[in-house]
Amino acid sequence: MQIRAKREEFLDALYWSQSTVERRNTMPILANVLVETQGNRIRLTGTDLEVSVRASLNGEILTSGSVTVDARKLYEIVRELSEEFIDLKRLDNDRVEIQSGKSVFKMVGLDAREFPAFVSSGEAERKECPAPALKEMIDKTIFSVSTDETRSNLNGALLHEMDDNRVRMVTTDGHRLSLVQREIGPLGVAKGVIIPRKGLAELRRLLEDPAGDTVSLGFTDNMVFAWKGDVEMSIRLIDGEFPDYDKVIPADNKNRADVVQSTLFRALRRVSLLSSDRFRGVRVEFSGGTIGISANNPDLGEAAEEVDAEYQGNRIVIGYNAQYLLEILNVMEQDDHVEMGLMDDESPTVVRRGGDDSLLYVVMPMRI
Amino acid sequence: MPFYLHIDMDSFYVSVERVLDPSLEGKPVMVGGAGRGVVTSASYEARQYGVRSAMPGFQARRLCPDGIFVPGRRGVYSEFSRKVFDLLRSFSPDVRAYSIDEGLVDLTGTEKLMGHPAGTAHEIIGRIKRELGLPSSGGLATHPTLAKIAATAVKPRGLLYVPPGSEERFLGPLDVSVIPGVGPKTHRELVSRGVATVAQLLAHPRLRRRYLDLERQGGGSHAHEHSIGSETTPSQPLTEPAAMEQVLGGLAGEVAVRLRRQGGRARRITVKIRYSDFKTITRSRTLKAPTCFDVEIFKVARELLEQNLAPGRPVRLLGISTSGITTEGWQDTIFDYRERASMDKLYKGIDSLQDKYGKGTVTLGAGKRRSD
Repeated sequence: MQIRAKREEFLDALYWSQSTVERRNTMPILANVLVETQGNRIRLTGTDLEVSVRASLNGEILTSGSVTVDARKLYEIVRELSEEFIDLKRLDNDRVEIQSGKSVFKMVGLDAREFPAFVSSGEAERKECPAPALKEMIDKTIFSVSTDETRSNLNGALLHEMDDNRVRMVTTDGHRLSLVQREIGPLGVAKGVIIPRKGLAELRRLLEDPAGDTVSLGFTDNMVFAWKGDVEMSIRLIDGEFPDYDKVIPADNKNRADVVQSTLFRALRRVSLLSSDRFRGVRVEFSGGTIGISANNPDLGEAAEEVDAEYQGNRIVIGYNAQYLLEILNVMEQDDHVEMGLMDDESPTVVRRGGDDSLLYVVMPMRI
Repeated sequence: MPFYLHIDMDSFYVSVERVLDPSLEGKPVMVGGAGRGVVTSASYEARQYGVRSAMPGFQARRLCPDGIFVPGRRGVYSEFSRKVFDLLRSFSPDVRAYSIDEGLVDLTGTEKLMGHPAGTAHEIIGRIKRELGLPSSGGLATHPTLAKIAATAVKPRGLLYVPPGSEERFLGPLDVSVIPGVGPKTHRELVSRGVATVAQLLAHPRLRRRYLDLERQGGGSHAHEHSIGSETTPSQPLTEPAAMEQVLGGLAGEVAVRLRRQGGRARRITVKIRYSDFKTITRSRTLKAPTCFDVEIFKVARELLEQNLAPGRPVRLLGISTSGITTEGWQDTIFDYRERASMDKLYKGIDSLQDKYGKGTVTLGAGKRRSD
């Protein structure tokens, strides 16, 4: 195989594969990128067996074929080159030569036939949806994906299609739950699929790529495929049941607070500086026209702050993990009104953005 | 000025048996030790024959052939223990239970209310005797460890006050083995290095820091990390897993009650298995959500037993201990908080009924309890 490509285009395509490969691998070839010719196109593939990405670009195919070489190293090399074109050539014993201007690199490669095959999207029907909306859904939920590997069904986001083209994305780690709903359907996922955390993060990167405002999605039983511009991504779905999330969303939390995002966010950040390192617990008192936030750390001291808020309901003193509240507030805008609905100091609190029915968070209180 | 009163019940199980059966008074009495079990408590009369607690029954019988052996009734002892601690709590909100028959009362700042702590200590010991019929010893000092050493030194039926400023004078001549944490092995090591008395130990800054750091207040109002556990040596070694599970069920219940009384939940559960050849193993598991519920502790303990039990080997002792105890900072999940809240209410209800009507009157239907 011998090819020539524009350095910048090659680098852009390589960006996708090198980000997918894991630093630590059980199979050495998974650290590599597959470079192959496809008709008059060059195609670069990276995979960790869960998420695979391939990007293609135009180039000059002098001889067809394929090579694999360390993805990260190749990316670093191509990034450092400064000429307009690079030449890439397969040598004996799977070695690969990269030449650009007066620079020559000869890298150790692995047999391209050993590289895992890209799963075919087969019969999956391609549905188009707006990329910015889908990206926003991921942004607003990815932080509460569980990292507890013993509960694999929570290690990803549920993508769940309702009627009327409304699609929900739901994540939970058990202590909080995030739900966002957008009209991006129909996608054909009425029964719901669970996209793993890493796939979600890679998908988000694909969505924020400026090439095009639309992404195509296709689902099979155990995979989701995404196509955008010259990039094709496949993500293995999590095999499992997502919990019945509707059941755990409190429907009638009658004690309600309304507070401006920036006010609450800043106060929480300040007070939580003196919360205990281990739990990041803050005590929040809802009463009258204020929300009182306090924290204490036996080794450091204590902090307290009152923020103005509209509150209707019983006086409630409740503990929260400050980090959880901050992560929720973080996806809202400074001027947004934050609505909090409480039942009591033991039951979950509902957090919403004022006037926005499409976004909902549930947070468990912390015993403090 | 901090003041800590360490209360240590004198041969607690025997004393309880004597309250329930006054004819045992003045006689050499041993609790446990029937069959192949060990003596868990020996009266001071029996101790004169050389009987010690944790001594195998056959040995105790040889030393004290006329002794009276009473089978242990753990539930009853727990009940009396609870009464003792309730009484202690009426003197101070800060009472720490070290075991079923030993605890620490923080009397710091009670002077205005109750007079000098030495008087209060005297009254506490008097009331335990008058109201519950139980003898106890006390050590009063400015440091928890010192209070314990004082209580041990003055046993039985004594109260020793170490006034502020006289700590080192009191400790100096004592043997280093009085220091909690200095076991036989450490003792030998220290003695071989020429450190036999506490005074000699205190002269070495490094040893001082390690074994008896009186500058560091172990007390204070926030409970430190400790463990709550219980173990038992059944009168016959157990060979059937079902019988072992039953024992674990009882232990889990005891431990859970004590956790709940402290308002704590434990993150880590350890099971101890001692085979009849005295080989002992301990196995632990850390939980995702800390617990104070019988069923959850039992479930983990049973799994640890199942996974680690050497098949066919008779077991002479089983124990459960819980650690990583926290009174704050835990979160139930949105999926199980209702279930756990109702479990919490249920167990609190059982606890209060048992407080009122005695242990064993109310239990969970499926609970596996050791017969008391």
